[in-house]
Amino acid sequence: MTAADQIRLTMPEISALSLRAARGAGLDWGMAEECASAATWLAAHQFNWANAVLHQLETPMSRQVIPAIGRWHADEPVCGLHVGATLSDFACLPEGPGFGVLSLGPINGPLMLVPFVVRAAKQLDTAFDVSLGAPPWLRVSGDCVQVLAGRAGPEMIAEVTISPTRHAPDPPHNAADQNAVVSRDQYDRLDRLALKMTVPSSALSAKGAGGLGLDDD
Amino acid sequence: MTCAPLSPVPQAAQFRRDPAQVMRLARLGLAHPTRLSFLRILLRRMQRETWQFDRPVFDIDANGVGRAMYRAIGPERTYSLVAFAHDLPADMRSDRVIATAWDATFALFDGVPDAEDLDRLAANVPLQEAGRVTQKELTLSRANRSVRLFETVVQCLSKGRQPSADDLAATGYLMRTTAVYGSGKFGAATHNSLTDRPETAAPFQAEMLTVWLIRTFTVDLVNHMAQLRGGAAAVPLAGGLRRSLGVGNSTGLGMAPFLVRHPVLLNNWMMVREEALARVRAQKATQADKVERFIQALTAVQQNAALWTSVHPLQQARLGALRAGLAQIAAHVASDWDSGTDQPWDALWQWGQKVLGIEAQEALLALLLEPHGDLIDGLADCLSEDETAAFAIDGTQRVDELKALLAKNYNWALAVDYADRKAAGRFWYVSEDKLEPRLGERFEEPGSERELPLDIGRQAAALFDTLGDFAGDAPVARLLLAHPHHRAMVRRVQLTATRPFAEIRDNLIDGDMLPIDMLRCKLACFGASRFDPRSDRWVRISLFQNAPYPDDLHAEPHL
Repeated sequence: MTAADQIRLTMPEISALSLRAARGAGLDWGMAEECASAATWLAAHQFNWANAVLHQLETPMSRQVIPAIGRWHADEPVCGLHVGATLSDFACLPEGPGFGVLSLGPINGPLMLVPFVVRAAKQLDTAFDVSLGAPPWLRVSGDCVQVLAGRAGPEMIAEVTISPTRHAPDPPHNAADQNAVVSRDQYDRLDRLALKMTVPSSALSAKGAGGLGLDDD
Repeated sequence: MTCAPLSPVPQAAQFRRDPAQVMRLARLGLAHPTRLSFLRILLRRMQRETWQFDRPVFDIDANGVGRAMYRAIGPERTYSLVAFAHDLPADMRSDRVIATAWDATFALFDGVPDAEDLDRLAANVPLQEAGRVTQKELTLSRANRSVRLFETVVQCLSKGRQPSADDLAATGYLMRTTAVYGSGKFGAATHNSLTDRPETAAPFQAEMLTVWLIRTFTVDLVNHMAQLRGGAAAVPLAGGLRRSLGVGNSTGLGMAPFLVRHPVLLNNWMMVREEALARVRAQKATQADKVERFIQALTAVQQNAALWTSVHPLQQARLGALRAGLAQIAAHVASDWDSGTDQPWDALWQWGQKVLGIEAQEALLALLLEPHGDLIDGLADCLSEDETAAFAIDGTQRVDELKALLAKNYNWALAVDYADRKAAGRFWYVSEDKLEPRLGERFEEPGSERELPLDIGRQAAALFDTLGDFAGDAPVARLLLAHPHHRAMVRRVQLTATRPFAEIRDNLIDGDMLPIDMLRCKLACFGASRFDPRSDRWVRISLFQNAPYPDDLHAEPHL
């Protein structure tokens, strides 16, 4: 990919673009905020944030999951973003990952889940191993993440298990990049989604916003 | 906010105003700049740390076209304002965000740019939104000349005459900025990357430095053009006249949603101001020098109010009320107020609450802070906060606890009938053409199905209704599983448990709501003065008017 095919975005730009794209894709505002937060975390830690977000927003998938102690239930693979937000909400409850091994069931796009596992680890002040089957894929603790084995493509569907561990990520990955690269194609797809939450300016609102004529006093 | 436990005035807590009073839009819209406003924080730091300033580049022709560079040299780092001056045809001059050309464009560079940096900036900065900057730049901005004043001043100076003080006062600036972008916009450095630097830790410090250096550029530009035009006959702008000029700014709706989208920051900014007021009111006694400083500040504010003009009927009425209120304060301080009484500042404040209108009450607040820098200036450290730290929802909270928070902090919203055409008459949206916030008429214009979530009151009421059907001992996590569309509002309500100033406590979609009140609230935090609304949704202001310049900063007694 040449430099002309890429755009370097700052974290606030990634957050704003992801928020608008998520809203344009039909998510309610609260979940759109979660999407923006997760995208920013992934970007700051050098994951392919744009592919992860686009997969969640462009692919029809179930959002229904039923939290329960030890094993969550779903009829079909569930959106990683929605499971992640629910995991964050239940982090400190018995249905959460703080009381032993937790199977989340089949997740569509498990990469999107990672920022929420990190958040849960922070809330519980513990470390987790995240497995897509076996062996463990990631080890996370607070804001640290370590890839142990393999990788999770954004389109992957996998049975996800979260296990408390006494081992901290080693070496801790504390990167907090201030910008990240996105391909022109990814940017354009996100931008197209973002445009769906905009409204053409009416003459009435444009006039009130600053006048239609010259302003040179 | 975590500063309260460190307060040197622990008894201040009992003097704090109720957020239910402070956060009403009618009061926020009458806010005045204080010594804790962001531009004052910047000036004090640069004076305290004896920053030095120079102008290594000033290559501009008789038409005002060329480039300049100003350096602000601090104890550890240097920042450089790079300015590109253009010759803009009059018919292209517009303050609106849709403009594509300006009289001058600027970037604040982190360090001192080399030739390669300058070439890169020259290729991008004049394009503004259509260009890109990098992590080496802290801000990107532009300004237009005041057609009414700029040419007149150049003409007068070129002929060896000073311009009329009245003409200068009528406008108040030679140029006005139409945008000052920072914090990661268009590729610039993010605020998070700068918070470990003391000089950029407080909010908008890079933006304030940019505007302050632009102010110097505007005066240098008229002096330079006058000299090229008039030769030996030309004179520079006189010191007193120079001092009276600020940098104008046109601000529209783009600024308003910030206060709603950043509840943590809004809380901190208001909490700091309110804590400062409470500390002053809690003082058992005062000293003569503080009273003297208060009276000096009052005189300066009265002079400013006398010069402050507006063509907007609403602002004209407010100005009348302000001038009358300031006169009442002056009369009371001169004749009735006993500075030797117990808690004298609180006595003055209590008198103001009984006698003054809201506009003058808020002016009195700013005046009370002026003599008390030793008591309150440290609060500037509490203005910023990492907003992501407060982002996670507490899923373990019981529904009845959430409901109690709603009843306590959103009672202003719960009784409103949002089916009423006036109560829900407006909707906020993002414009397709410029991705800028706009305000639409819900029942007259299309697009309300895509509205921005600034209908906080309506969301709060909807959440409250939902909670009525939910078991009080259920965790919020269960509530959100059943009603995920309440997620954004639940997050806000939980924030208010420890951040009581996080919400504007008014219906922001009401047909009678005045967006300019939101703008003035934020601009007062910046330190803006001379608010001059041009409609109910955009306003002209001035920044740094009567403030020192780089060459006299260190001679200034009271910052």
